[in-house]
Amino acid sequence: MPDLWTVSTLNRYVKQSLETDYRLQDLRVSGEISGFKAYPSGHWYFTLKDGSAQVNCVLWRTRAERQSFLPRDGDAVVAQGNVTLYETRGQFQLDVVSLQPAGEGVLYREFVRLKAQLEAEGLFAPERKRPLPAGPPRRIGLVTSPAGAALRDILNILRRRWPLAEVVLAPTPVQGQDAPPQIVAALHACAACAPDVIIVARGGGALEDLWCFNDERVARAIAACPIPVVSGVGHETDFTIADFAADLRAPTPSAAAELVTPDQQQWALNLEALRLRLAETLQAHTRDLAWALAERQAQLRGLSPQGQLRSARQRLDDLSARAGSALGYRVSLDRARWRGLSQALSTLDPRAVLGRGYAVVTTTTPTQLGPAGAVVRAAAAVQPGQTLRVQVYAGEFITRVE
Amino acid sequence: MPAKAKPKPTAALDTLSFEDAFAELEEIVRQLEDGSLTLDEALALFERGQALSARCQQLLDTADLKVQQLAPRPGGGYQLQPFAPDER
Repeated sequence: MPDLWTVSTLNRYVKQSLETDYRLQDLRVSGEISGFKAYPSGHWYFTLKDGSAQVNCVLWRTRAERQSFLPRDGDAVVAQGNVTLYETRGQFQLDVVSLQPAGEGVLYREFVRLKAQLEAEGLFAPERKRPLPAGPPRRIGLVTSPAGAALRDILNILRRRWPLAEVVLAPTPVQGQDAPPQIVAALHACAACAPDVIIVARGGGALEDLWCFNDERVARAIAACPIPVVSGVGHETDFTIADFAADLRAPTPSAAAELVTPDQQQWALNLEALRLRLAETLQAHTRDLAWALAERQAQLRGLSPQGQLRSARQRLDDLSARAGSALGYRVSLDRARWRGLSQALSTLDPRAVLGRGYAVVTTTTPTQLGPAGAVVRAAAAVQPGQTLRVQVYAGEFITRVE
Repeated sequence: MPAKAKPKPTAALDTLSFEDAFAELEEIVRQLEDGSLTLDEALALFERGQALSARCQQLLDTADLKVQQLAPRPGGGYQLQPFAPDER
């Protein structure tokens, strides 16, 4: 029967074994820095990783103070140090003595290579990008982790901005080596539900946490998706291959939710505007009709018997006015003619002849010429002793024939 | 004069989505603004428009985001089920 050990004894033994293995002491390890933290105590903690593995590292304060540069996540480094065991947790770690930068990180190089390759294939071409639906989406697909903060953020925003939508969540892990094929499967299942738009999202995290969104399979699935895809992966500064393949990149999951939804309040305003137009059109319509009615009524009044009578009366007035003016004209014409005539008459007035010295002789008693007052035109017509009336220009007198 | 409103294909209001109701409302306003309608037609359209706008308002006021999640079906494929965020 084997010995029975306590956990403490086991860990202490493993620690000693590691520390006495000369190959695990004073060795150099190349990898990429991730999850770097400089504690207030002055110690540094981080992990070193490559495409498929990682190891915890610690760099104590006294050594940290001697480092020539402050590492950042993603930096490719060569760490020199000793392998040991953190007994409390039973985790082995690298006790780093010194850090040297080692050019670009392997992951970064892989990122650049894949991006260049897919770009050359035209996977990111602008003409491949599908526009988001113009109207408000009825159904929104979500490809993300059901447990993540990203989902919570997205649902909060959708609830606030466009609660009329229906959300179809295609749950998938969004971290780890197994994630890419599951993300692809979730995307396919989501697209099969025919949403108007799909959001592929993941909250912020260390670079390697986002790594599944730099996977070629994920990028190709997004580009080939028949539904417009909006990516919202990590923070604003994180760019993944999935972002380039998506139809639209949102800086964060929340921003993706905002991008696919209209603002409910804006639509309430649109509705109000439409309601006002509706009321206005009916008013305008009835106003037009009222005018048309008034016009027809006026026409109708003109056709009624009273109207005809009135118009006949008016015509009469008109005629008599015209008659009056015609008469006036006629009168003035007559007056002119009369003046002409009376002038002509005056030239025929016998008195005018008398003015020149002639006289008119008439009888005073009845004679052979006729009754008294007959004009005497011949001397033979009078007898001596007969009295005659002589009319001159100014007055008259009686005379006796000798 | 016998009232003879032009019969319109009018979907039942309470089944209309916001988008459909809004689109029909827009179309009605366009027709009314065009102004070549009889009074009866205009009044009928106006009433329909009012009902549509009330429907839109109601949808805006009472909307509650519906969340479903895809779950693998035992026989293969997926099915939709209500999403309960507290499950995990």
